[in-house]
Amino acid sequence: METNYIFLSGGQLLFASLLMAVNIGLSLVLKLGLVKQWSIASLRMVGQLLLVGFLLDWVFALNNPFWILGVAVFMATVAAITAVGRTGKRFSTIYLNSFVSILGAAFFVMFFALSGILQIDPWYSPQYLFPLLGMVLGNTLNGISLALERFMESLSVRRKEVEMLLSLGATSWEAAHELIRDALRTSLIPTLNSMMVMGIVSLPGMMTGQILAGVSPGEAVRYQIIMIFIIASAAALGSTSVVVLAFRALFNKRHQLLLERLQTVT
Amino acid sequence: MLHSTDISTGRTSQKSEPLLSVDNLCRQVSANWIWNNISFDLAAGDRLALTGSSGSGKSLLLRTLSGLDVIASGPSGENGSIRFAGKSLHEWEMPQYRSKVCYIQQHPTFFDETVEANLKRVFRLKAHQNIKYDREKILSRLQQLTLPNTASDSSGTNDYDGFLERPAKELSGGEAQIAALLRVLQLEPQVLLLDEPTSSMDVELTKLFEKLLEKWQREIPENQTNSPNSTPQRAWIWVSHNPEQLRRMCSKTFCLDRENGN
Repeated sequence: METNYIFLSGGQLLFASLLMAVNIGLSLVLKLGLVKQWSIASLRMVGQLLLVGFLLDWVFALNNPFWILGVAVFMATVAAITAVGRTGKRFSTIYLNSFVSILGAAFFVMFFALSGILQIDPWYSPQYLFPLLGMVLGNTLNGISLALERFMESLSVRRKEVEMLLSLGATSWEAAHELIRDALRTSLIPTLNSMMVMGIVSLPGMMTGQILAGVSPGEAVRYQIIMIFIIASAAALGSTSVVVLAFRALFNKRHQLLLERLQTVT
Repeated sequence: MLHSTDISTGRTSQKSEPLLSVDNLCRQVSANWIWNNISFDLAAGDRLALTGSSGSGKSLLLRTLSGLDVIASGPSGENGSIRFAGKSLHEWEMPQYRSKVCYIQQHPTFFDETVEANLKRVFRLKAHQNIKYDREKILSRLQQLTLPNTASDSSGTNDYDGFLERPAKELSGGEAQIAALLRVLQLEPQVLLLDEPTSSMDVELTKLFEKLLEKWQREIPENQTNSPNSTPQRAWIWVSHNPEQLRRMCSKTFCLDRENGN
């Protein structure tokens, strides 16, 4: 396995950055005005990744559960904030709801995968935890973002329908059920789509990485299958949780729709 | 002031407990108080006209009475309250309350399916599991309305089945208001909160609609047939910009402008 693996030197990285020079050159010639953005994005990407590599090396070496879980919670927090960042409307507990949903979903599937499926001891072993967590958080973030956006938007657009049902004696759950279902379906479309074409249209990053590292494709595929199940489950759990929490925040026990709690982001 | 020949005038004083009682309601929109310290009673059998200039909050009051809006506390912190059938709003389960005090939106909303499917849909709600869809009753009410041009044939006869089969989203404004009334009457409400219920109807249809409601009010509810009291128990609060209609259909008036001293 190690025999196939090529260790990259700093010179090789520098050489790779020449590809960005092509992008910048194109932008200059065609006057696309993207020089600044390409430069910033490249520097950010390199900086962030080097920092993460450094940080993870450090956490790996420490191998202390509190530090490992601390970094994991920090990652989840950033994901939770980012998930809310894209939505067009807000309510007061939206960040908390997003955080609870993303952390709950990620913790559940990670624990199931690491101690149940892979049976790693200890289950928080950073070599497995962080790569899996990164992929889980990325996907759950998208699911939560789409679910929140869709649910809040349809509550304002379909307000009359919801209140019609309420005034006919529906409970708030009955009145919002259609909207909740719709939000969850929307949020899980990307996950379902990518599962449908997995391996045909896209060769997932983790599998590609393992193959590059010398693992046989047949072996890498097995990891990928587990990974997809984990990702899909986390996305579904996170989206469901965040929509139910949003539902509880925007209706009260008196079965009233509290649309005034929704503020449009300007 | 409305003068009515309706016999229900004066009966209210004989009742000890009003059916619906509103005390000290206030409503603020942004920084403005729309209405302050509103209080009135609605007795069983009452037909109350709710009047006021545009923007006086008539629809907001109906929404609040139907329990769709939170009862806000007033400018000096006083708490308004609504009582219905001897219980305060807080003691009522809202789905039960809203099936007895029914609010009909001025521009009713329907699901994208036939009128009949929309009418049946209410029975899927937990609160109405013990009542069943009654097609005969719907048809007999439709007959009272003699809807014009519901048939696709040119014979001029009315096709009430046809009305029920039509997609609800394609109904005209007036037809939608009829369908909304039929939908609500299925719940056997005790109070109707009517927000411009005939605003999209022509004169003839409006008259038929009013007749239907008058008949509905005089009906003795099925679960009270052995009650010795045969006077109408059902009541309504009617919002309309048509004073003639309010004169025909209501015996009391509550004016929001006057209450606020505007």
